[in-house]
Amino acid sequence: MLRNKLICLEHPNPNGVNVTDEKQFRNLVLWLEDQKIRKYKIEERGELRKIANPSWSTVFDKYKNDLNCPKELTSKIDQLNWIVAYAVKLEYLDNVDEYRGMTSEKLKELQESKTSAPSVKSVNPFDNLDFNSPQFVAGVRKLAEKFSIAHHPDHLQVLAAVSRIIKDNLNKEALKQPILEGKPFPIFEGQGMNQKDEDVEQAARILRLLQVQSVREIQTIINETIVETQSLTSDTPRTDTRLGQVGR
Amino acid sequence: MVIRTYDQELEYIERLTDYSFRIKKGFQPNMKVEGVFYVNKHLEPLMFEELRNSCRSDGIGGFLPGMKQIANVAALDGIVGKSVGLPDIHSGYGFAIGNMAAFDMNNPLSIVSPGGVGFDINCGVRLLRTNLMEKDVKPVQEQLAQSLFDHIPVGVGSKGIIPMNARDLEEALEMGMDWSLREGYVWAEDKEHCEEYGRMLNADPSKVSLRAKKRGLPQLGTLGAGNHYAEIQVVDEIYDKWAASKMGIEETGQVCIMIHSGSRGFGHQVATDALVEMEKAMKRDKIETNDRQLACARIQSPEGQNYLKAMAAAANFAWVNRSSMTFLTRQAFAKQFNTTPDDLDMHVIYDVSHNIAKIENHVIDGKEMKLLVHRKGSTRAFPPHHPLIPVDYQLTGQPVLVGGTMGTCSYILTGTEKALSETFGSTCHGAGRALSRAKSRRNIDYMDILEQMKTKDIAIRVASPKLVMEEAPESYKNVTDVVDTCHKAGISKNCVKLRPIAVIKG
Repeated sequence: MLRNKLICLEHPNPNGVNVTDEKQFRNLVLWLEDQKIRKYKIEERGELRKIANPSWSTVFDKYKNDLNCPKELTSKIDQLNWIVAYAVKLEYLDNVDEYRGMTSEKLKELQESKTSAPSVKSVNPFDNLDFNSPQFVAGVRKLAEKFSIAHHPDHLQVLAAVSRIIKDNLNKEALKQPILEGKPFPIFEGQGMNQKDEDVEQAARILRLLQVQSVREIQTIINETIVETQSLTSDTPRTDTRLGQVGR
Repeated sequence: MVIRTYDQELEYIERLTDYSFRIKKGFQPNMKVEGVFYVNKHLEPLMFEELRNSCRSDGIGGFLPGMKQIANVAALDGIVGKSVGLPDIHSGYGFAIGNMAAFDMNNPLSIVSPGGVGFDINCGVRLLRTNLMEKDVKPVQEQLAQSLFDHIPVGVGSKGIIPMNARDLEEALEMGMDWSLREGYVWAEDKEHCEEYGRMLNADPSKVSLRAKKRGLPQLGTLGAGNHYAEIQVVDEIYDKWAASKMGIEETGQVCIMIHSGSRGFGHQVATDALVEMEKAMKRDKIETNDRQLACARIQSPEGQNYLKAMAAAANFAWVNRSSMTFLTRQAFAKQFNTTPDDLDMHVIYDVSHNIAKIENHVIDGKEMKLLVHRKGSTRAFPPHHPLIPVDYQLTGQPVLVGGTMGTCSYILTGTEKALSETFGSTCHGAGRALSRAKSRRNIDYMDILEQMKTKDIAIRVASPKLVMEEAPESYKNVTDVVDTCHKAGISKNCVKLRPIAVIKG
């Protein structure tokens, strides 16, 4: 039984422990405190650590008391058993959710799957979605309709567009900004893209605007970086009018 | 040299369009390509008059006429396409001012010539906008002019008020506008609205003589003399509302500030040093030119490389200079209106260089080529979508800033596709001198000029009033003719006209 508990606790050598050997007994108690129970702070474990100390048993008595080990247990083996059980309890409480509902069958299943293929259990609910199910496609189409996004045969492209609109226009910062009133950008003014087909020309102009916008974003980031750097390097701009001299 | 009569000379000149002429090979010896120049019917007689006068004097004495200078440039080694004369062309050292030419970087014989850049390396124009209107500024026009005059030292031998030591200068030469940014004199946004982002990366201060550095150090942040000026201007007319709004110019009456300056004595010394060095290199490499003033060196030779690196340092000097004056201008305005430059929206609309040589890629006869483009008294005018212009002007084309003469108007133009295909993406730079400085001094009285400014209600502050007649409007071609010619020829597009209400100059 003790062996099983030690396996649970991931003791490095559960089969080789001989608790009747005083030295091994003391080592095991120390290991439990160091790795699992942590009743004392690290610096307070000094006495317990002195395994060769002849008065170690008094230290052990105090330790039992501090753990509230029942007084009825008189044999050292029983006491050790209780301490190991206590460690298992602590371990369980640390991860109640994971261990609750764990049965031997389930464990067996788990162990089998572990040996066959390491599966990553994800917590992201989106991973379980079927992005191509008719239900999902219909949902995307509905969403697109709400945002007046043009039809595209690939619903995932549409979803990307929706995401972009939400990210750019519906974030906290953007919502704080008042909605811009005024004239739309005069997209047909200025030099065109020299396309004969009117539709192609319009598309080219739109693409050009998007390109300009993204370059503008980069330039703004560059400027922000310069300003940040300036705050480190700028030597409060000085002038000294005494140096000035108007020429002839 | 063959001496021909005026009529014989005319056989080499052929009208191309209403606004341009071709100069055929043979007009000057050894022409490798043809020349071309742009004029309208007002500027045309001036060009031909020059040629006629030089024929009369049998080529002895006086300046070489612009057409001859264009043709001499067309005879330089490695030139591609054509030698281009812009409408504001007038005679200069080696290259005429208003002459641009490009040389093939992959031809080992190609040359670089300091005369093709000019003595005032990276002379250029910067335009700041404000959100002020004429009615806000008019009542304090005199105070503002005085304040600018107090902040920006002007004139020959002026010294700047931004403290700098020799080490600062070395760093500024290497970093250009990045130095001004690092020290906190300018805004991050200024950089993106500047040709080359305000820094030539190949600058090497170690290629610059100690003498140039000594001349340059105290002059940073000064305007200089000659045709340089700082003007408070108001928007007089908007021709292209859409492009103007992209530059933050919304309506007539809006106030802008134009700064026209260069690399001061620093650039002058760099050019002088290079000319001396190149004269030796020409003998060694057996380079022959039609004009002694066209001193040059193979681009790949040590002299050529040294010049390009020193020129880049001088270009950086000019950008730091214009940036320093931007800072001082912002200070002056903020003080006058008791607010901050931010609140006055004093952004740089653009900063152009009109005396510079740059490596650019152009398509010649359907083939992309790497060229060294010399622009002397010529402004880059790249069309919409060109990768080298700022993102804000991708749809309008590069703003081209054309400063007028004292008291006349200035223009903002935009670059065009036609400029890229016809003139290596170049257009005019200013009014262009019509009378020589000496002739102006003889013919015009400076008191008349100052009186003239007064009647136009322009506040004026000058360091040396006796030199203002050199810069009198009468000494120059009409800037409106110049920009109109470029507009009609399609090498730039008129966008905004500005008129001055206050001028400070050397």
